[in-house]
Order: sequence, then structure tokens, then C-alpha cells
Amino acid sequence: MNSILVQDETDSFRDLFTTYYPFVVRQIMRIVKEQQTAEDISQEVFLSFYHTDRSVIENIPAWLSRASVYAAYNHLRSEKRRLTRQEKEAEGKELVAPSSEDTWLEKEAIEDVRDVLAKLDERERTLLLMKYSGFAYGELAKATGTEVGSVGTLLSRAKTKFRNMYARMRGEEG
Amino acid sequence: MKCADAGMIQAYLDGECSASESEKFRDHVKQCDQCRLKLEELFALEAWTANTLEQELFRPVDKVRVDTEAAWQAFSRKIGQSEGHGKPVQLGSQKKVLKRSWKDMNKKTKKWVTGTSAAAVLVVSLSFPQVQAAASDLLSIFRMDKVEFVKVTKQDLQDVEAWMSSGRAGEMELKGIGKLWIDEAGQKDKENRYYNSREAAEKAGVKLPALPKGLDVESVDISPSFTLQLEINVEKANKLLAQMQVDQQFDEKLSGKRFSLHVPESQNIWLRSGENSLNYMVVDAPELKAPEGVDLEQLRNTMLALPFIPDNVKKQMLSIKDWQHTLPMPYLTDKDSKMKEVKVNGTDAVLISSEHNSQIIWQEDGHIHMLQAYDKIKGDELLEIAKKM
Repeated sequence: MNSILVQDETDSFRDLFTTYYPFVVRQIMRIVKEQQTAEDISQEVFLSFYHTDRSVIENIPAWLSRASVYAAYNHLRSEKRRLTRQEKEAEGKELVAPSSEDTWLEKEAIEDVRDVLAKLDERERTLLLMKYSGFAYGELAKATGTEVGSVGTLLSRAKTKFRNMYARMRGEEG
Repeated sequence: MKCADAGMIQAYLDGECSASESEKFRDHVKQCDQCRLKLEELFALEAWTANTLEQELFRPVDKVRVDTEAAWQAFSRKIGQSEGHGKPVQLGSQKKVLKRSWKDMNKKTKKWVTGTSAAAVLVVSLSFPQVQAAASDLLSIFRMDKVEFVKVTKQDLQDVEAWMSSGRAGEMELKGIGKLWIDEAGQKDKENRYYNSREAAEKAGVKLPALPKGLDVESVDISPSFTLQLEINVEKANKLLAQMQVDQQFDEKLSGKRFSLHVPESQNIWLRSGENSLNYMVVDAPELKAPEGVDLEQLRNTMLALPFIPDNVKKQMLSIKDWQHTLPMPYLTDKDSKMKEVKVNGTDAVLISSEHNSQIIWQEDGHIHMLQAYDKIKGDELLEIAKKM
């Protein structure tokens, strides 16, 4: 009986995984450009999802979305530290291998968007990424630990900041 | 209403305000230039941000293809490792069973039309019920003493293989429906036995067929008999079928009952004819049993309607009328192999030739015989040898 229950649980987790995995990968790829890296991070996200008491999660996509954004930025941060170290060791060496992404027409813009998002603070980018992934204020508030009443204000500020930084970056380049 | 702040306007734009709040705000904007300017500004910002993120970030990323299945495989390995024995014991053992059936049978019976017997046995086993113990329950016992051929493509095989070896469809499709396992309890010889000469085999009590002159035994493999069993939860299985929009339903009498296919011991003899190797395999007709009162025809149709049985196999199995006495034997179709109906000692046989090997399958004295040769011995020559067997 016991083993049957365990089986059922595994199966239902498998369903969750199957349902949300592409969503998580894409959410992470909005931040991390390499798909392989994004998939690795997705695995970590699901691992912690697996070990979390899922009965207390009210909105699973929202939970996963927030976890994805956090995990992706954690990765970027440690990657940045690593790159900085390496750059110091080997100045001027090309470190970023060209990826399939080079075929994307949107490459430049996508990089700029990512760069700008990276410069926002954690709460701001979580708000932006989740909002445009279609989550409601209630979920945004929960994900960022704020009151529903202040989400509108925080959002409009985050957007203003995003636009200004983006304009500056494009301006510098162009 | 007093003037709204940016947060409130943002909430209004995002549809997060209540109907009455929105109404009030719209009224207010009509009279308040400041708020109208703010609204326009925030609306422009919203449009720009949404557009930028959508165009530059979301859309390109959404085009990315994600292989969820491969990811799940990787993930389930991971949780398997990190959880140790705390994790699904059932999952593990089920996988093992599935693997055993595929791997061993594949190895043992590889020469049966390139491993397709695994698919055949599986498919067939799914179509018959059995009650294990009490003999009084057993009314329907069939021996499958005819061989019928079902064309199987590589894709079909891969489908079944993918299911059996990864446990993928196994977990998914059998989820809730029931389980599939191989029961070897009560058998004396669970291991494959191997003898490197005719003498050694006979000394161990293995009865080998008489062989025509010019053929020498190189080695003998004896594979133990095994019984492939299936137990289903009718309620859940029927739900799944309904969900898959399959009209067929399982008979309620089957709930908790066991289905199985018993495959008797088989002999696989490696022969040498001069410079050439041949493989000769003999197996008894598999036996199927059914619990009392179950409509076998209906059951079979239902089982065949299950999603994990490749369509094209189903169709051909359904076209076999005398199914109760017939073991459908799939053979692999590809552009390199040809099938011809021939006669061996007066019985129908099938000769399959491909670039590198040829094989003949026939059935005689309740046994299924399979003779296969490689490269140098061509089809006609092989047929001559078979006739002498």
C-alpha cells in the first residue's frame, strides 16, 4: 500500500514537472542566455520544488516563476564572480562562446534587455518578469513579500527605471 | 475623489482595481488634467515596457524548443540518487522488471526477427487475462500454437522499447492502471543456462533435437520460462481510456485480477556448418489464461486500444481473426528486408531475407522454430537446411 502511495506521488510530481518544465526553462532563459545552462538551473528549481511542501503553495506557476528568477540571478551572480576572477587571470581572452542564439535576429536587443534586468534590484526584476508572464498583483505581492496595495507603485517605478536604463544603454551603444 | 497616485493608476491599467474604483477614477480623470497626463504617461510606459519585453525578450525565448521528456529522465535520476531507498521502491522495482523483460528477452530472442518478439510478447500479454492460483477459476486457457506475422516498423519498436527500457510510458500509462511484472517464483532454474557443447548440454539433461548431417552444435543457451503478468485497476483504467477518448472499456470483473502470458523455456542453439554459423531456436507455444466470465474478445479489444501499443501493430493484430490460438509475431519492415511465404516439411513458414542475414520461422509439433543464418548462407540454402531439421 505504502509503495503504491509513493508511486502515485511520483507520478503526480511527474505531471507537474511535465506541465511546468518548459515554462521554467523559458522564464530562466529570459535571464540566462544559454539554454543548456537554463536547463541545468531548471533542474535545480525543480529539485527544490520537489523538496518543498507543495501543499502550502497556493499558486504553483507563481512559485516556480519566482524561484526561477531567483535561481537564474543567483547563477548570474556566481558566474560574474567567476568571470571576473578569470578575467583577472587571463586579460582580454574571449570567454563567451558563440551560441545558437547568434542566429536570433533580436540578439542585440535581447542582450540589452537582459543586461538592464540584471542591473535592477531583485524585487524589481521579479516584478517585471512575473507581471509580463501574466501573474496578477496578488501573486506579485506574495513573490516579492510586499503588500498588494503597493504593487502598482513598485511596478511603475521598476518600469520607469527599466526604461531609463535601457535608453541609456542603447544610447551609449548607438 | 482626490488625485490618484502612480500606483493606483498602474493598478487601474493592469485591471487590478475594482469596477467601482475604476469608475470613480475615470470620472475623476475627466476633470483632472494632472491625473489625465499621469495616466497617459503611465499608459505609454506600460505599452513601451510590455512591447520591449515582449518583442525583445519573451518572444525570442518562447521560440526555444524544450525537451521536457529528456529533462524528466535526468530529473528522475537525480531524485532517485538523492533520496536513496526513501524514494519510490516501487518505481525502481518496476523499472527493473520492465528492463528485464526487454533486455533479457531481447538478448535471448534477438534472433527472433530482430528482437521484435519482445514487442509481440508484450502486446499479446496485454491482451489476455489469467488468474494465477486457484485452478477452478480458470476456464479459458489458450495455447497459441499458430504463428501469424505482424508488420512492425522500426518506429513501432522504438516506441515499445522506449516504454519498456525507460519505464517512461510504463510509469505514465500504467499509472493507476496497474502493474506489469515478470513472475519467476517457483521456478527451479531462473538463470539462463549455457553449454559449450552438445555433450555438456545432454549431460545436464537438456534434450536437443536431432540435427541433419553437416551441422554441429557449437553452444546451447537455455532460457527459463517466464510469466509476464499484468494486474489492473479497472476503475482507473477505464477513466484513462475515457480520457484518451477510447470507446473500449474494461470489464469490471477484471479488477484486481491477474493477466499473464506464460512463455515456456526456450532453446537457442548455435550451429556450425562448415565455415558458417547458424542460430536455431525452439520455443513452445506461449500459453494464455483467462479468469472466469470475462469476455475475452472485449478485453482484447480494450487492451489493444491502450495508447502505448503502436497503432500499426494494433491494426494488424485486430485483423487476426483466430487470435485465441495465434501468436502474432511481428517482423521488422524496412527497405532492406523481404518476406516470402514458403513451406517447411509441409507446414507454412516464412522466410525473411535482408542484406546480411536470412531467417526462417515455422511452427511444428506445437513448437515455434526459428533458424537464422548470416552473410554467406542465402535464403534458398537456409530453406534446404530447415527442411532437414
